[in-house]
Formats: sequence, structure tokens, C-alpha cells
Amino acid sequence: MSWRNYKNIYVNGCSFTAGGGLYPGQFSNVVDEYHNQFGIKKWKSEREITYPQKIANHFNCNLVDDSQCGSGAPRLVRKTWEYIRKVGLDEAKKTIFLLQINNPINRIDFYSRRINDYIIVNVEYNDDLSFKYINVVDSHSTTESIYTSQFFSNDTKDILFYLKNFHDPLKYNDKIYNELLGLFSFFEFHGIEYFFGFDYHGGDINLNENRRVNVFGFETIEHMSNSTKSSIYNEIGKDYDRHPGYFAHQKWADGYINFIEEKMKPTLWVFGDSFSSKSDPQIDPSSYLYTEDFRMKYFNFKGYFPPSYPEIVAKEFDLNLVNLATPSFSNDNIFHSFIEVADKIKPNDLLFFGWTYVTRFNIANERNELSNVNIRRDDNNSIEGGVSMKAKNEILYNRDVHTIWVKLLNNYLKIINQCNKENLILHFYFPGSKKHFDEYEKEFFDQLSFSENMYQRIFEDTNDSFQDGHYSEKGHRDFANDIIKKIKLIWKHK
Amino acid sequence: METQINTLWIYGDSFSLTFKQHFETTNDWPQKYKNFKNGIIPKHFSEIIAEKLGMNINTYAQGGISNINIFDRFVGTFPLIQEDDIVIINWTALNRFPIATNENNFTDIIPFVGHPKQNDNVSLNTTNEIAVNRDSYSIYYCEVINYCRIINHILKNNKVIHWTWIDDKKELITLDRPDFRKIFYDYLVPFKQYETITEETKGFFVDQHYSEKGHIDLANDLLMFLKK
Repeated sequence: MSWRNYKNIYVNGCSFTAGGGLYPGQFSNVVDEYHNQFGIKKWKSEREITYPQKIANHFNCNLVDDSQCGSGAPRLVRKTWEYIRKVGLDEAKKTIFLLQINNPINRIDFYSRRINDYIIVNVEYNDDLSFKYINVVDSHSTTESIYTSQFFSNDTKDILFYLKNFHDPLKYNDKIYNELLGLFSFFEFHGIEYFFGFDYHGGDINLNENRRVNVFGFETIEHMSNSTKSSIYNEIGKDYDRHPGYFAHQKWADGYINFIEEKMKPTLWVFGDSFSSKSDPQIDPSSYLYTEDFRMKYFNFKGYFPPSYPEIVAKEFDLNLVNLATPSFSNDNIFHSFIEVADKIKPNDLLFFGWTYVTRFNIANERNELSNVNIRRDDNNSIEGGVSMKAKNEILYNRDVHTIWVKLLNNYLKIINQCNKENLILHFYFPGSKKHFDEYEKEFFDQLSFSENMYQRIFEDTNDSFQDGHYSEKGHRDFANDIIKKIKLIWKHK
Repeated sequence: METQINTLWIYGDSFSLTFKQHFETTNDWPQKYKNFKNGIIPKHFSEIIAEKLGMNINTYAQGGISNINIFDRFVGTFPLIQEDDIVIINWTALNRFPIATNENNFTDIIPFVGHPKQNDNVSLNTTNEIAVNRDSYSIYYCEVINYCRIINHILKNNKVIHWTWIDDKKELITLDRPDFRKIFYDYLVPFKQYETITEETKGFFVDQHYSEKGHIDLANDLLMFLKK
């Protein structure tokens, strides 16, 4: 099972997306030029080598490419709605919508009764809003156009009359922007994945900026090819078309794929102590931990670092993994490590918390770092940051015998759950459950995702050759499998 | 149509308790101050702000509380905070910290004020050592920085004000770590000293809480900040 459970990529835009200028055929030898100069395999249709196709191939999705040369935002809105209505809401939810939006002022959507289909009307205005020219086609693509431009010459006069008398370009711009807002709101309402980029200044109402394309710092392929001089003209060095070139499409596709992966691939965030920490501690050989850390000892026994449960789960579901669990962390440390990344957590991310003994607490040490006090000290010289052994032991005892400390922990869980309501959150507790609870402990144990943790420990795997209570390779694998089952169950019910 | 009245949520230590609420404590300074003011109970900054903005007040402040428990009180109540409510939190001295009592409650240690009421299993030496540790190292500012961060994150659609009455100028051990104290104070409304009762009474009786004028000035500053 993977987050990549999308079936379709829907793309809309103008010639910048549709491969304008890269047309094969009798009117152009652009294909030959790319073949002769760069050894690029000849293409039969420009759609074969445009960025939408490469993105769809990468995600192993069906491609619905509704981009059309000469078209703009009005047609984009109409065609996108038509697609949604045609496939239905369920299928739309399995679709990623990629929208390259061009100017509605110059790109108007009309319907022709003569051909019983929509036509593209390109209008250019002078500064005083008088008409510079008007051009009517079914498509600008030499491979996709059915009718000649002469075919629409009589229509041009009628359309001009309409535009002069019943059309205002600025009001039309506002109208189309409102329609775009409606489309985006629909996507947001239904949790449909979409990304947009404007080739012009859209409107003044704030959009969800998280959805704005940002590939190499650009929001559309035209912005990139213009700034990086990668038009067809730039690439093959002759007086060819200024649309994005073959290589621009490939580069844009690669960048767009990374952008989508980054935006959509969920992250598994792991907070906790040694039980949840990375399998390979990557300890500097000069550190005493290089021999003392339990993972290094286990490595010496196994000959490799067996994967920890977060690594197994992340691999199973194809997730990014950010593991912030650190050996001997206190619950305060764990909670604060969560706060430090709270604003980076996306709604589809998963959160694991491996809570630990409430007795553990922090004091500042001589390095101005928070040091963890987790076991009773028996060395009178054990002074950290001016705090004596006796003081540390008294606080440990106070935290051990009074369950009010669990109330603080319960509140950590409450705030985490409350502020990440959309996320899948699992809470674990590795020290093991108790037979007798008071109200605070009951509240805590009730919030855990697993009540038992009878998984194999390292001392069992090593036949006591070294005493360590952390999970063994098998322990991690079994625990990970139980988590995987639980997640599948949760997702199934969602 | 019924108009909904929004709420001003107040969290903090004794500086966030109203004069009326101070009368409910065992402290004698509220009575002394009332006598000094010829029987008039002055308004607290929260009352001035709530009156000005037409809001209800919910106060979850407590005298002598630690930052850990200020945050805990916020956690216990924040789901009740509504859109358009305003939250004002005063953070207190970093050297205060809780220990568990024999009754399985928390008591917040205010260090160096004699043996406080605390659990017998924690000695005065221990609480003093911990307090010195908390007073000496700048790393403890990270605790309260993170409280500010998560509160702002949770209440991103509300107006939230963090402030403190602590003018922390003491020398801290920082080593090569970032200036955590500055980072914390950057989360607050710009620090300012307001008139205290000691200043108003010209030392007639000593109390570092704000005077009537102190509260009026603080309220005006916070209102200005809320308008931004």
C-alpha cells in the first residue's frame, strides 16, 4: 500500500503545456533538427514529449491532457469541470490536477454552432482597449487543427461585433477569476489534489499558496524557459518558435515531479527515546558511545544494523521518514522536539510518539544543554550544572511515586492530538503497562495505540550475551507489522 | 439576533490576577493597598481591556505559578477558546518549577523564600540546587520559547499576546548557544517597566505588583498592540 494511489493526472493549459512549436509534420522540421543535432528520437505527436506525459509516466497514471494551443483560463475552467462531471467525484479524488493558467483577456472561449464545438478566440487589445487583432481557430496546433483559419473568417466579424457590444475584457477577467476560485474551492472542499501556476497576474483574492507551483522558483514552464533561455529557438539555434523547447519540457517535468513528490508524499514523524531511534546511530568513532551505544553493541552481534520499526513502516508505505527520537530523551524532550517541527507537519503526515518513563527529567549541564536524568545516581561526584546526586535522586523519587506527573504527560497528548486532528497519530509506551492504575495512569494508557508490548528484546535474541531491554530485530519487525496492520485498518475505515 | 460576546483569556501568575481576585488569597498586601487607595479597588489591566473591547474575561492565572503550569492551564482550557477570542499570557520567572506533593498535586517552587510548602521527599537543598541551575543557564529559555511557539501555532487565527514582568538582566551561562533570552523576548510585546505599588506608595509598603497606574499603562500598551 502506498500514498501513490492516484489513477489519473489531469493537465490543462495553453501551448506552453501542449507542446506548442514542437509540431512534427510538413510545416515544420523541428523534429529533424532535434534528431540531427541531439540524436533525439523522432516523435509523431508533440504530446509524446511534453512534460505532462513524462509526469504521468513517472507516477504510472493515466494522462488526461486537456491543454490546447491558444487557450486560456476560460477554457481551462470549463474543460476541468467537464472532466470532473464526466468521471464523477470518486474518480476526481483519484486524480491530480495540474493547471497552467493563461490570460482570459486574450484567450476567450466561444462555441461555434457551425462545427458544433468550442473554438479558440485570441484577442489582442491596444492600450486604449481598442482591438488590435482577433484570431479564430479550432486549434493552433498543426497536427490537431481540423479547420483552416479561413474557415472562420466570416465568424470573426460576428465575434468582433459581440465583443465590441457585449463584452468588457476586465470584467471578463474578474468573472473567470471567480470561476477559478469556485473550482479551487471545490478541490479544497473535497480534498482533491491540485496545483496551479499563472502565466499572468491572476486576481487579488488569496489562493492557497501551498498549491501554487514552485519548480526551480517558477510557477509555469513558460516562466522557466523564458528566464533560462530554453525555448525551441534557444535550443536548436535557428529562427524557430519561442515556445519551451524539448529540453525545457524534460527539465520542467523532472522539477515538477520532485515538486509533487515533496508536496504529496507524506512524512512519518517519529518522536521518542531509544526505543524509536534510528537503527544506525552514526556515532563518531572517537565518541565513547561508539562502543557503548546499544545499537553499536547489537551491530557487533548481528554484523549489520537491523531496521527499527519506523524504518520498516516508512518503507512499507513509501513515506519520507523524519526520525527525531533520541536515546534517553525525557517526555519533556519528546514533547519539545514535536513543538520544534509542529509547523512543518502536513495534514497527510503520520506521527508516532514513543513515550517513556515519567521519572526522567532535564537539568542544564555545563555545556548549556539539557541533560537527561533517568536513573538513580550512586556516585557522590555526579554533579551536573551544580545539581548534586542527592538532589537528582530526590527529584527522580518524587516523580516516581506521584502520578500527578502523568497528568502533565496526558496534557501533552491532548495538545498533540488536538492540533493535529487530520493526522494519523499513534502513541506508544515502551516501559510496559502496569496492573494497577489510578485515574491519571488510566487516562494515559487509554490513549495508547497498543496496550501490550510483548516483543522480543535484544537480551532474548542474544541469549543474554549482552543484557539489553530494547527490541531485537525480530521485536522491531513484529512491532512494525502490528503497526502496519493498524494503519491499514484505520485507512480502510477512513 | 443575539450578539455573541467574545472572551478575553488570561493566563499567568499573580500579575494576571485582578485586585479583586487577590483579596481571595491569603496575602495582606491587597488590603493594605486598598486602604492606601482610600477603600477603592483599582482596575486590573484585564478588566480595562475587556471593558474597552466589550468582552468577557476568563482568568486562569495563579499567584506563584511556574511557566510549566501556566502552559498546563492553557492546555487544559484551549479547546474552549473561540474564534475572535483574545488570549493574553504572562510568563513568569524561569527558576520556578513544580514538584509533586504528598497529596499528589503540584506545588510550584518559588526558590530562595524559606522552606516552601513542599513534599517531604524533596529537601530545601534540592529545590535550591535546581533553582540555581534554572537561574544560571540560558537553555531554560527554550522551554518557554516552545510554549509560545506551540500556542501561536494552535491559535493562529486568534490574537495572542505574550508578555512578562520579569526584567531579566542577570548574567546567564550561554556558551556558544544562540541568544535564547533575546529569542524569547522577541516573542513578547516589547518589554517595559510599569509603576509598581512600592513606587506609588513611595516605599510605604513594599510590593512589586503593578499599581493602578501601572495597570492602566499596561492595558493601553496591550490595546495598542491588539490594534496592530
